[in-house]
Order: sequence, then structure tokens, then C-alpha cells
Amino acid sequence: MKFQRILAVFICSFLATCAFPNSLSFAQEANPSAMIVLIYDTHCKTACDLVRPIMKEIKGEMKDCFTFVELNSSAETLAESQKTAKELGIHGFLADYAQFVPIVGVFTAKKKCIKVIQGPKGKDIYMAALQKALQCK
Amino acid sequence: MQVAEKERKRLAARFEKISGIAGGIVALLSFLVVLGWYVDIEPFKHPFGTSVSFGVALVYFVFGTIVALDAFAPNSKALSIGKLIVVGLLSVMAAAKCVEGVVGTDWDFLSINLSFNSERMVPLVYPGVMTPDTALVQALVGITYLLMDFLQKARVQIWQWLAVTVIALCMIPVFGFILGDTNLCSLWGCVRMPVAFAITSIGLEFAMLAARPERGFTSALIEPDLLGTAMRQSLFSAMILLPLFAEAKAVFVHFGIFDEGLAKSGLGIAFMFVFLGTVMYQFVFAYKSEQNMRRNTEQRLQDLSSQFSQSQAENTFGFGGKAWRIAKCAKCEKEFESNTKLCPYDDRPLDIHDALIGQVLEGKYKVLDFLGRGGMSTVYKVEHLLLSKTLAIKFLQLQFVSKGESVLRFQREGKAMARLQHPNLCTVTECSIIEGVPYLIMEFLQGVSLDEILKEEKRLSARRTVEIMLQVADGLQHAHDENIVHRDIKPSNIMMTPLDDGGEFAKVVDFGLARIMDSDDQKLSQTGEAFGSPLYMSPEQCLGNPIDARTDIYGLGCVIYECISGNVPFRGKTFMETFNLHINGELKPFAKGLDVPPGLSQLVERMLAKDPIDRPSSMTEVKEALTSVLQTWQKVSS
Repeated sequence: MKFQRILAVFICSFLATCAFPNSLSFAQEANPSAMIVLIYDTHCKTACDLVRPIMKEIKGEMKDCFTFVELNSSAETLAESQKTAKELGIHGFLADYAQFVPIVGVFTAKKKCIKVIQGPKGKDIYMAALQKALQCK
Repeated sequence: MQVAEKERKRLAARFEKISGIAGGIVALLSFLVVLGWYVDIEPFKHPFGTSVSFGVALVYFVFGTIVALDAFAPNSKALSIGKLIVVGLLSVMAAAKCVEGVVGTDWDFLSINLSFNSERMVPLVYPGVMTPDTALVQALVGITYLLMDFLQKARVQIWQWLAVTVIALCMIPVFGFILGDTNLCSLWGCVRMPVAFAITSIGLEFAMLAARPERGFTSALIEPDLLGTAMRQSLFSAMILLPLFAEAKAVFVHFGIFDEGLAKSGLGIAFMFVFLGTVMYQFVFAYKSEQNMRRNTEQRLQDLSSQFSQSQAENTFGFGGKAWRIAKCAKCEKEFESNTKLCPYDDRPLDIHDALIGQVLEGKYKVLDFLGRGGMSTVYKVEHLLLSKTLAIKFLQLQFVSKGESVLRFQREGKAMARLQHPNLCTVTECSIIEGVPYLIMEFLQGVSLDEILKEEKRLSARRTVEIMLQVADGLQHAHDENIVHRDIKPSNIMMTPLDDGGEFAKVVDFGLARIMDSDDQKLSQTGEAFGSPLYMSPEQCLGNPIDARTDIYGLGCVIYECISGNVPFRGKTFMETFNLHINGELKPFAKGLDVPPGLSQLVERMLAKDPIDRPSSMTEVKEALTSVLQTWQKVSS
């Protein structure tokens, strides 16, 4: 009985806490072109700062084929990023992966995420994912 | 098995149960997260306000289930191998994911799509999104499980150190979360481990440590002493306080009770103080209690020791405190205790003067001779003048007759003993009180005590011992059947009468200290009284704990041991030391030259177990074992 009670308290605590993060759902599709989304955090120094220059470089090369979106998940700018994500129809992606920064999601024109890349990677890896997205187009 | 060892086993079993529960909780929580990802229940994906990825939750669901199965389900070999393969594969995947993250590459072959719904915006992939720190911890948790049952007897249990390392790693994001800093970055990158993942990892590692509590440093947690208790309570305090404070922080921030910064730092500091305070309290309490216990034990042993000394002294004196048997110096006419041999003033042999000899008690018992004096009683040979029959009278010591309660008990026990009719028991025919001193009238036995035989022959052969002890056990079994425990089994209480055919007939005497095992008498023979002869007293007698028939089994074990080896199993320089040896001392096995059959030595070992539970459950069992040993000899000789 004692353990059952402890278990009940534990599960209730778990469920209660689960309610605190935003309960966002996937929004309607809004943008028709393929998209590459980078979620980063101002406070995530080392890892995010490695990815952002690479993304800028890729953006220079492939801006005609993709829509590049950068979403800052730090507390100060989260509301604004959520608004942008909602407009782009990737609100759920931001909600689910905001805590795994830096994270890059590659979306097809139909807003289907074909690749999620977590952590800093080489440029070639991002480029390969983009090529795949273009093929899906 | 010692009492402490038994308690240790009980605690170990409890820890194993806790391990299963912890594993089950991890499995349940992880299952909820997996469910959240599958059916898009947003709150389930974010326990403790942090995101837990699908792949991580899936692996922990498997790990948690396996750890729970380990504790609760019977372990078949096939199941064990299956578990090892599954955990091994998942650990390899996690390790590969960690390498992938650290090297900065992308291995597509690592992704297994587990989405049931192809319309999902982001497919559910295993391992999927997993930060290198998360992957590393997951791999280490798996390796901990894999190593758990390897090198079981090694002094250093590597898996335990691995578990502690993982717990330490996971404490970083937990403390970061409590103290309000979730961005833990260094030169090599940022720790992005979700707090919920860190807490479940700690839970899993704890479950694994608890699953094998008897090994390595976790054995300290199952020590039954107070320090072990303090460690257990401190550990559980931490396990409860951590999620409680994390939860409290989330509640305070969510409802705006405190500003986020204040809630984080304030609760972080509060946690540290409460935790440290709890731990310090536990250890101070343990230290003080240990000291009190030691003081009480020493006091108790001293009391017991002085009780016996008093008993020895008072035994010399008789009715109304007057000495009836004294040693007197013919020259200086000074009187001494009857066991004094030489006058300390004149150095002359003393003459024994016994006022009882020649007296007629109760108008029918004429005291003929002094037979002997034990630790608790004095016995005289008497003649029943009306029946012209020789009997024995035994007086109880004065210290036991000074209280009305003791007299009542003596009468009741006397009555009960009169019921004992068995050839191997000395029959009691009357129980009464003379001038306030209770006495028993018993049958008079011709012969010598086993004690005298041992003094003369030093030791007996194993076979002769078994033949004698079978008779003693038979008599004691009858007494036990009548709910009477002798409590003072020793060689001097076993009378040996030679038979015409050359054999020996054994009779158990001195039931004057026996105890009747009914509810009323439990009240009378309350805990704390110590009766018996120190050299043959059971550990529970030494401690003043409640006793039962197994106390006689212990006493008989001591006698068998002494008969065969020539020495009592435990002998200290003082009463206290002997008590301590009975309670904690290790039994020396019989010397090889004594030619004791294994069955007999095993029986004696069991009879002398510290914990009554580990002794033969009844005298019948002892008899059966002795008979079996005897039959083996008979077969060999025929």
C-alpha cells in the first residue's frame, strides 16, 4: 500500500508538471516552398555558435531553393519565435525540439520534415539533407 | 546464522523489491512519453517542463521494464540472454549516436522509422534526436546493466562506479535546473540533457544498484546498524527531495508565486540546506543512538554478571538468611562459605558444618546427606520416614524466593514438572515451601553426573556421546511436549546410572529452573531475566530475550560438543566474555583426529546456531539426526 501511494504521488506529480510547457499543436501549412529551420538559443554558446555561420553560408548559396528560418528559443524571444513558427506551420516542431538546440529541421514544400539534425555538423551533412529535400519536391 | 546476517538479508530483499519498483516507475513514465509522441499528447512529451525525445523514452521504457523484470520475474537463462542482447544492442546504438554527435557526422543507417502514421510532420525515428551527452548517459546506463552480473566476486565492482559516475553526470542538469541555469556550456559544447531524462537515468542507476545490494559499496546500505540506517534514510531523503523541489519550482514559477529567478535560486538553496540538514541529523542521531545502545549493553552485561556473583554468594546461606552449611576453622572458630577449603587466617583445612543434616523437615523428610550444589540450587539426600524411601530434596536459592511472584512461579512450575513422567527425566513428586523457601522432592538417583565422568575421562567417543544424548533428547522431547523448557542443560544436570548389561542410563535432572511456555508464565518469566549456566547458555538467554524449546537444543549442542571435544564451545575469562562469545563468537569445528562423522558435526553446528530459527526446530529433529548417525555406525559395524 505504501509503495502504491508513493507511485500514485509520483505519477500525479509527473502529470501535473506535464501541463506546464506550452501545449502547442501543429498549425496549418502556410509556406509553399521547401524550408530549412534552425532553432538556436542565445545562451547556448559553443554549439549554436558553430551552426549559425554554416547556415548563413548555405543560405548564401541556396537561397533561391529554400526558405531559411532561424528561431531563437531563449526565454526572451520565445514568444516571438512561437508566433513566427505558427505562421510558417511549424509550431509543433518548435515546441517539440526547442530544448535540443542547435537543431536543424529540413522540410519539403509539403511541410513534411524529412530530416532533423541535432548538434553542430559539417556543411556537407546539411547540404546532403537539402538535396534530399529538393528531390522530394 | 547470526541475527545481523538475517537482518541484512531482509534489507537486501527489500532493496531488490525497491529496485523493481524504481525500474517499473521509469518504465511507466517512459511509456507515457512514448505514448505522448505517438498520439501527440503534448503534456506527456514534456515531463518536468522539459522535452524528452521519442528515442530516449523508448529506450528507457525497455531498460526500466528489464530492470523491473529482473527484480520481480523469475530469471530463466533464456530470458537473461534475451535481456542482455536487447540491452547490448540499445547500448551500442546509443554509443554510436554519441560518437556521431561528437564527431559531427550523420549516420543515416542509425535511423529506424517507427512512425505508424505516414502523415506525421516529423517522423518518429529511433534513436532520432539525441544529444551526445544524453546518448553517452544512455550507453553508460546500458553498460552498467550488462556488467552487473560479471565479476561478481571482484573486490571492485566496476559497474557500481559506472552507476555512480552516471548519477554524478545526471546531477549536473538536475542542479542546473534547480538553480535556474539550464544552459550549461563549456569549451566542448553545451549540456542539453533534459532534466526528466537526467532524473529517470538516476532512477534507473539507483534501481540497478539496489538490485544487487549485497555487493561492493552498496552493502553498506544494508548494514542493520544505525549507521546503515542513517545512510539509507539520507539516500531516500535525497531521492524524495530532488523531484519534490524540482516540482515545487515549476509550480511556483507557473502560478507566478515567485519571480522565476527567486524561485530557482531560493529553492535551490533551500534544497541544499534541507538535504544537508537531513543527512547531518541522520548521522548525529545514529551516532548518539549507537553510543546509548553500547552503554545500555555494557550496563546490562554488568548487571547479569553481578546477578550471577550474588547468586553464588547467596547459595551458601539457608533459611531466613542463616547459613545452614558453613566451613568452620577448628582453631580460630571463624566461619566461611562452605566451598572455602583453607582458613585464610590459619591456613588450616576447614571443617564443614551442615545444620540441615539430621533434621526432619515437614515431619517426614529426614536429611541424610549433602549431595551437591549447583549454580542455582542445593540438593540433599533425604529419607521419607513414612515410606522408608530415599529421595532427594532441592532448595531454590534465596534470591528467587524473596519475591512472592517467584514463589508463585516456582509452585506452578513444580506442579507442571510433577506431570513429567519419563524414564529419562528425574521425577518430581512434591513441591512445597518450608520457612518461605520453596523446595522440590525428587527421585534419588544412584550414579554420577556426566560432568564427573568428563572430569575423569576428559572426553567421550562420538558414538558413546550419541548414545547418551539420544536418551537425553528423548527426555527433553517429552518435557517440550508438555510445554516445559529446562533452560539449564549442562553435564552436571545429566545423571548417568550404570546398567547391568554394561550400558548407561541417562536422566535429566534439575528442572527447578524450567519454564512453562504458556501465556501466564510468559508474564512471569519476563524478558530481562537470565537463568542458566553461562557456559551452556543460549544467545537469547545471554541477552535476556524470550526463550523457547530451542534454548534447550542449544544447551544440548554445547554438551555434545564438550563430550566429543573435551572443551565447551565458548569459554571466556569472565561471564561477560562468555556471554559475548555465545552471542557473537564463531564455533570452532571439531578437530579432524576426533573422527566425528559429518552428519554429527553438521547437527552440532546447527544446534549451536546463534539464531534460534537456524537451529533444529524440535528435539524430535535432533533425535532423528542422532538416530541416523547411530544407524550409520551400526550398518558399518554389521
